[in-house]
Amino acid sequence: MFNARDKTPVPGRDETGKVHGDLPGHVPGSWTKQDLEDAAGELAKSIERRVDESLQLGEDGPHRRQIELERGLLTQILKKLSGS
Amino acid sequence: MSEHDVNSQRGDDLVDRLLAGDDVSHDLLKEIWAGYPASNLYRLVKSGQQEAEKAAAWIASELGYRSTEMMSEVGLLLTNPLRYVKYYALEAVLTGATVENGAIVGRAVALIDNPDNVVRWKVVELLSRSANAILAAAQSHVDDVQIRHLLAWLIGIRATPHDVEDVVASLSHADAQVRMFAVAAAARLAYDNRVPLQEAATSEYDDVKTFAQKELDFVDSWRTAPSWTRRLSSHVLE
Repeated sequence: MFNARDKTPVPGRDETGKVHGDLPGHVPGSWTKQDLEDAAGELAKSIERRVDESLQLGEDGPHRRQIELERGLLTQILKKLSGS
Repeated sequence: MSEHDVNSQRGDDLVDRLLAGDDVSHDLLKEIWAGYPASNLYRLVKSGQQEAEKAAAWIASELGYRSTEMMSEVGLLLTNPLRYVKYYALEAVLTGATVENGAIVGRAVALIDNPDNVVRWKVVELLSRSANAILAAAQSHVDDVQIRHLLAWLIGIRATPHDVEDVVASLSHADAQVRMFAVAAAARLAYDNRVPLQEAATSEYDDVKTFAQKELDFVDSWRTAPSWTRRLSSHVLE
């Protein structure tokens, strides 16, 4: 789920506890520090949920790739937040 | 050729590749985000091929609210024998079903008596997090008398002292199905009153306890979530 703002949407979880939507491949310049912190929290919880699902349903290519995408974006966000 | 035609052609090609056994689910999902109609996944759903059906279910679950566009296909996926397919189809019902999809939600709720405990507890999650209006639309489509009765009970639960007491008492009912509806009720109440879910989290029944502990974590995680993600507390009991 994404918030409705006139800029690259910030990822947020829905009822499933996961983030859904077309994630950006890099951290958008339009995101504020608050957006970055929000996105990091949401992605971390989404990844946790997805890993839990992998344990219940077994190893799965598409799901693993989605986890990698979310982890990749989260890593970029954390780097940006740390100023490196 | 217009951009729409190119997107449509790429999407059709990816469906063909999935039917041929290529693992391109993620590429097809990206194509749907770019405009390819999700309902075109009916070719995968009706293929009779396990891997294609699994891909359709996974993509449906990843669509979030856009799974509404392929709810007919999701309804078919709910009848699939595979745990993986049922699990993700149930998730698509949770995010995409509307009051127009009562029959499909009813089919999802009826899976509460499925022999697979992972599927059963996924249904409890659906019962815990769906809007009252969605569950109400499903009532008349549930054939099993006990399940229909329990669904009506769940929909009627409010955060009153009487209902809270009723939910807590039902958490230790001898009938496992009653306990599952009770823990779903406890989860729905948790945004107003955490006591029933906390009681469930110390249940003598392991599956009730495990579900309740996870659901407590889930409810707590919304307290610090950004405002646009806070949908559950405002709609589950409305």
